[in-house]
Amino acid sequence: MKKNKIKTSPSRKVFQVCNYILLLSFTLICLYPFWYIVIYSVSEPSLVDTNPPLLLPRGFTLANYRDIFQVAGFFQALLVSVVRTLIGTVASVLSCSFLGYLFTQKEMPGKKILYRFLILTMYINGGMIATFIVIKSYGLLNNFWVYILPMMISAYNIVLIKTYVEQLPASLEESAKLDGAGYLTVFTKIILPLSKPIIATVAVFVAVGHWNSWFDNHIYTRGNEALTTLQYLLYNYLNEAQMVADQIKNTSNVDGVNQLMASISPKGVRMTITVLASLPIFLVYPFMQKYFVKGIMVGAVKG
Amino acid sequence: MKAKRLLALLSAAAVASGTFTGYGYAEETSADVSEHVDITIGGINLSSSDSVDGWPSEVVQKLEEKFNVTLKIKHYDNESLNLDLAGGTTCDIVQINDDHIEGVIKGKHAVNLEDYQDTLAANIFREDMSFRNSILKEFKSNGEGVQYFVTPRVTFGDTEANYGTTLNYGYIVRWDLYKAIGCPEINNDEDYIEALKAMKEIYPETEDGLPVYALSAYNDSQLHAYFFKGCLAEGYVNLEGGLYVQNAETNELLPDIYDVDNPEVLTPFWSGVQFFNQLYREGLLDPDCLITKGEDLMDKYTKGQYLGGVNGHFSGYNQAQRTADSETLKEFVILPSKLGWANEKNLAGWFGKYYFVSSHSENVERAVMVLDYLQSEEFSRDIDSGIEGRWTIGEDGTPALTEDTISMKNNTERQDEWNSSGIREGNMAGMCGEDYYNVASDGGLINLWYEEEVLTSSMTAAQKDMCETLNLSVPSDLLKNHVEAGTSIDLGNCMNVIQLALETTPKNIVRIDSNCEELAMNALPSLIQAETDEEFAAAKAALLEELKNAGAEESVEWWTNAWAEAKQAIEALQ
Amino acid sequence: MVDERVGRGKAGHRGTAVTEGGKWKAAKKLPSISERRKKMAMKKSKKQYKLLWMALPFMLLVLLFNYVPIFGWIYSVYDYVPGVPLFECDFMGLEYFKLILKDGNILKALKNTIIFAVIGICLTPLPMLFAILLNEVKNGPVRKFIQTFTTLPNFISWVIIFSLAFALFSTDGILTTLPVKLGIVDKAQSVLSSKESVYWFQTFLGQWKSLGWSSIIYLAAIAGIDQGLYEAARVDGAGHFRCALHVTLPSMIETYVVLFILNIGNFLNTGYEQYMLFKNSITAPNIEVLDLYVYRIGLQNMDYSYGVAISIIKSVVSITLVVIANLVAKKLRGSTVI
Repeated sequence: MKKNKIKTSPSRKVFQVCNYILLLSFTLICLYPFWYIVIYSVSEPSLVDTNPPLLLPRGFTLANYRDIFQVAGFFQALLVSVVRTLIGTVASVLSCSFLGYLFTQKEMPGKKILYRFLILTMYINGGMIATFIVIKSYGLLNNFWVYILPMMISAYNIVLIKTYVEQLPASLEESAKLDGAGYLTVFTKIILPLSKPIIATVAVFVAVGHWNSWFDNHIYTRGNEALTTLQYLLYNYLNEAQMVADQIKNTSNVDGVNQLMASISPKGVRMTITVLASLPIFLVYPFMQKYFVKGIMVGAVKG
Repeated sequence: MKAKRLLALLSAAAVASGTFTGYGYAEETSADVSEHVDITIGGINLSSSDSVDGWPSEVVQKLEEKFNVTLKIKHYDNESLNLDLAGGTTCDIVQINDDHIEGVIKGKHAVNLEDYQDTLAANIFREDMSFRNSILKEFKSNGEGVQYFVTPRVTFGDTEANYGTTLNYGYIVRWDLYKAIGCPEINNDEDYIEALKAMKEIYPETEDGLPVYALSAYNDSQLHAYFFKGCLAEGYVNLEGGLYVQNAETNELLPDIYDVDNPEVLTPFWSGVQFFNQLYREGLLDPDCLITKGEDLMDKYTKGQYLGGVNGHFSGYNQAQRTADSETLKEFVILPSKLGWANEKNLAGWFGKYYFVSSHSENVERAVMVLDYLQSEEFSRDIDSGIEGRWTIGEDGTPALTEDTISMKNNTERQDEWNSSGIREGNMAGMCGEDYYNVASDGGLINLWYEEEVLTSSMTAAQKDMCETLNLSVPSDLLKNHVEAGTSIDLGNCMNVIQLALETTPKNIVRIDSNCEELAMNALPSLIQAETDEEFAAAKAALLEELKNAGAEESVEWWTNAWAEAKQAIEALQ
Repeated sequence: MVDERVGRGKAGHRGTAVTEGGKWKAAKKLPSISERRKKMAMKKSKKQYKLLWMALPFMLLVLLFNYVPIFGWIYSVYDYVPGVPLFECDFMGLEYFKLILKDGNILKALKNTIIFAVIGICLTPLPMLFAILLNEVKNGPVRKFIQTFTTLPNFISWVIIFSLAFALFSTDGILTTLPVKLGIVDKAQSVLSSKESVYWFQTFLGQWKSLGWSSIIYLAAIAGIDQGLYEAARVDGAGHFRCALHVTLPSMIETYVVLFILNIGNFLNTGYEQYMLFKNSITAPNIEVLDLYVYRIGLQNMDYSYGVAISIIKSVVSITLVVIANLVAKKLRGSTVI
């Protein structure tokens, strides 16, 4: 083994160097725009508006952040977002992984049909108005659960989980079943612990989906301010410019246009919003990464 | 599975067809306000009250106390409004545009305001509003002859308007540079281009070394930048979308882009496009003219990269310059073009903004009372001039703004106070019943800022300098002079009420029109970047050919007939 | 040699019993296997239906939230005006479906959609490749750094991306003027106002935004690889490259194939936001995709029913494509994916 390592060393080194350069430069391309957003958000607005920053903020102020925090209902919206993300993620991850596991069971009657029935949902939708009427008839308008229930079962995530579980050594499950363990026991005692990487992945997908979602707020819960989510609050700022552009076409009245232009928030505010909206990834992702580092040890050579 | 799906389909269909039973009106209507309720006004293009600085303002608080309500404003876009209409979940008071009228009436979403004519809606049905009301009954009731809607900002017949302090639209120039080149007279696009050229020569780049251009367009409002420029230069007002324009003097309708039937007239779109093309050939046009959006435009103004402009995107620049130096001459000012956007006669109110009380409201009566109050003289005065106290009745018995109020307006340090006063707050200013220039019962204008003696008091340093240099008392005098000389017109003869009488555009025409708009937009690069007249003519011919294939002729025919009918109907009413 | 050994390693992966943790050592104490099998067979049918019962509540949610709204397809045969009860609207029959065939804009939009989709499909291995390369980075902190920061663009909304792109790529933008300043070219041409660069530029932006994020799933797959396989391969003298080729890659291919087939169905679903923002009169002919067109007719023309008709056709196309892809997969691999 030692010999091998020494032998492959030179080409390996070249590869490593190239790989580092490649990946780090891509990281830089991803990082710089974000860095730009960050320094823009903390720069003195009067300075950056005429002369955008390059590598360091121009002046330094947290005024943009203070303004955002002072927006009416900011903390209430933050709370709603956090709660929906937590409940939504737990509910969705548990049900998707359980359902995904059930679909790996060959003896399930009608498994193929049900599975296809599920997959089909990825490609069909009844349109916004019909969905709205249905949600209304379920009594979910202006109701917190409209954030959770429709998003709970995701065909895509179930496919991911099912594919992963199918790749796990079948023997584990078999021997557990032979011991008389029920599906639920197998699921909680064997499948869940072994599927940590995929569960973590799906959890991140779902959590970010919940965190970023504003559209359900926009159409289903507009009538209840207590349910406003952070993203929706922020979304309205991001789209002010487009709103104004739409209005210019229809406004020719005296004060109108100037009023409209003045109503667009400064760029700094929107940059600040972008920073805030992406913060959770810094909180969640490192935590999740620990499930990625260690691969599982099954069927080890010693066995 | 099939049976299940069928069942689901059926049950859902039943939900969908869930009949919107007509609203059962209360037998007795009284002005009972003992119970506190929430009233929400939702409207296309209104901005949410949460995002309005200083909400609830003094004006709003007064309303809230009066009717024992909490007032909120909600933003609707087409999407969310469609959903609320489909689900029967609209706000208490709703503001829509023409697109939604059919759905609102056929779906019985609106309360018949006439049921409250003698009780709660006295302001809506007062004598001065009768022409407006008859128009709405006739043309905006889907043939039922009933009044569901009210429009804002109705100009009464005897209203006389002045031109305000400054113009709103026209030839825009940076005052310091325009002064530096000796204030050459600008009477048409050629003069304007010459002036821009001269300004660029003395100011080729900004203090930060960025290139300077004459101007640029905003491309996120479809064709607006192009035809609107032409409307001002040629004396037209546009119908939405700009495919058709109305002559501001003769009130004729002309196809704007598909101009094969009127080759003798230079229509606004072609005038505008030629103007941009000229700038391009002179090397004055922003090379990004075709890709800038409104926001990018405002950014570039802030950086000082433009000398002129088409619309009000420079306001941020002016503000920033004034904040940095209150005596600055670096401000954009507006010189008159052929059409001066003043003296508007909205005899039936603004078109495209229709307010109704939702039949789904839990508090229909209170909503009617609030809507009626919005229409009143009292509220109109409040929103334009502030609540009483911000203005006072003087010794001569006429109302006037207080010195304090006037000084507050231009004092950036009192911005918060200004916001909470609610004066001219954008949302509500588009909701009140009366025009700025209507004379209130106390003898003053609704908008006291337009009283002659106030006009001069709210000028900026640059505007004052402009008046001194050009020997004017207010900047808008330039338009007055042009109108007297016969080189400009105002909107005094423009009957925009005809647009209110137009029948709903059928879907096939809407489709053709939106297609034509798209084709015209896609033809802009070849038109504006044409190097020679021949190239321009060829590009125009190509576009006209495409429009023809897209059914432009069918559209022209429909619009011409619809316009003729509407015009006739209005003339008959008058 | 290596292949064979790794192959055996793989067999072991599916077959060998677990000894780790000792949790299942108890199994050895139980009665003979054949005896237990019998018992199980008796319980089998009952147990099978238990599976169904357990799946039922979840499938009910699917039915309620994904299938009931499908009644909305009925709007496509009416001239629906939002707000008016459906059955009071004019019945149009298949008029809107006929309109699709006559509508020249659909063809134009379809051309762009297909070009974007084909480019997109060709690039589907990228996230997997990225994951493999990242896996080769053995320095923990560096790896975490790359992994975290490459996901960032996913969190920047398209509105902001457009405004950044405008700052960088407009005619005065830093990146447009740079080649001029360096003397590489003498006239700056902005990619934002170039019809020709639409396809590659938009693809680049899309990849930039999503690459790091979509590689997460493959990183999870790598984490799921039995470490024993690597050891086995190394024992047989496989270097890093061979390990990557023969252990890492095969473990991800299943995920890749499944996602690939699912994505084939999304062939026509490119979304509209990115294209709407970057659309201008110059790029329009190449950038308008089907989703953007549907968005336009729905909101600008208030043509709701027509929009529904198009989306029904899109669904039919999607499902057809997935079915075909699934059949092809069956032919090639012997088993269907879905």
